[in-house]
Amino acid sequence: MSSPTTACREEHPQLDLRSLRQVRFQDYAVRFAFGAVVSAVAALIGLIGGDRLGGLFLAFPAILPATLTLLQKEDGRTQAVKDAQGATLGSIGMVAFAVTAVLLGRAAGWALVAALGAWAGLSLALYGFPALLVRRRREQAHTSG
Amino acid sequence: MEVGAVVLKALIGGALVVVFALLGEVVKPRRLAGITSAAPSIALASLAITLLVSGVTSSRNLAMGMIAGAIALVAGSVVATHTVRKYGALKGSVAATGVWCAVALALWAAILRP
Repeated sequence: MSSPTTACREEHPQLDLRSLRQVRFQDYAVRFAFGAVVSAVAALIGLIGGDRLGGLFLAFPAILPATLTLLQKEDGRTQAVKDAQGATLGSIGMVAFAVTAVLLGRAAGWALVAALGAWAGLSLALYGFPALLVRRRREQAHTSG
Repeated sequence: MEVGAVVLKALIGGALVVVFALLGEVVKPRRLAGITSAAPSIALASLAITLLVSGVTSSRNLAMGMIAGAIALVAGSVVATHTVRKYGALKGSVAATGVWCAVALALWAAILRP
């Protein structure tokens, strides 16, 4: 992961819908195929080896290799490294997703909604926290100086 | 019924992967968008279908196994950050997947195996 200073130097978070115009159908067909195959394999492993073994594969890095290789090809290695840094935050969030799904399991569908919220909340907090830390330090330095 | 559930998980899992990938396309900067590269797309589809077809107990057991898989994914992603920088995306991804397999299977053997 990058240092707080690096995170702070990044551009501000935004949604750029114009990026969708550059989307290539074949890239997304590959991602769909990867996702479908891993989902089917995880389900089959669960049928053969039991639910806990099948569950292991629900967090298999199926999409990361496709995303990283496509990104490096189109935007360069630096962007691929940044994506992997973000994926680290997302994967910590995924631990929170799984723990929430276990703890609130009896709540059925609501447990999945809460688990998705836990993934998004923790991942975004981990992304935003370093920048917040740097801003606080700057404010403190400004008031004391 | 079981074959139908597998097909349904595959179709919905693939579709959710595309949805999160499109979200990653519009979100800027790249490090923030990278969060969607580790989105629980396959997990959401599988847990939802399992909940409907097999019930709460089966779904909770899947999620229990997923905790170990997700810890392995953290290890794999950290390795990917360093290996992609040093060796490029293809070799870095292979190394990350190898680390995921090693950590996930070790955790399963140590904690989850019945």
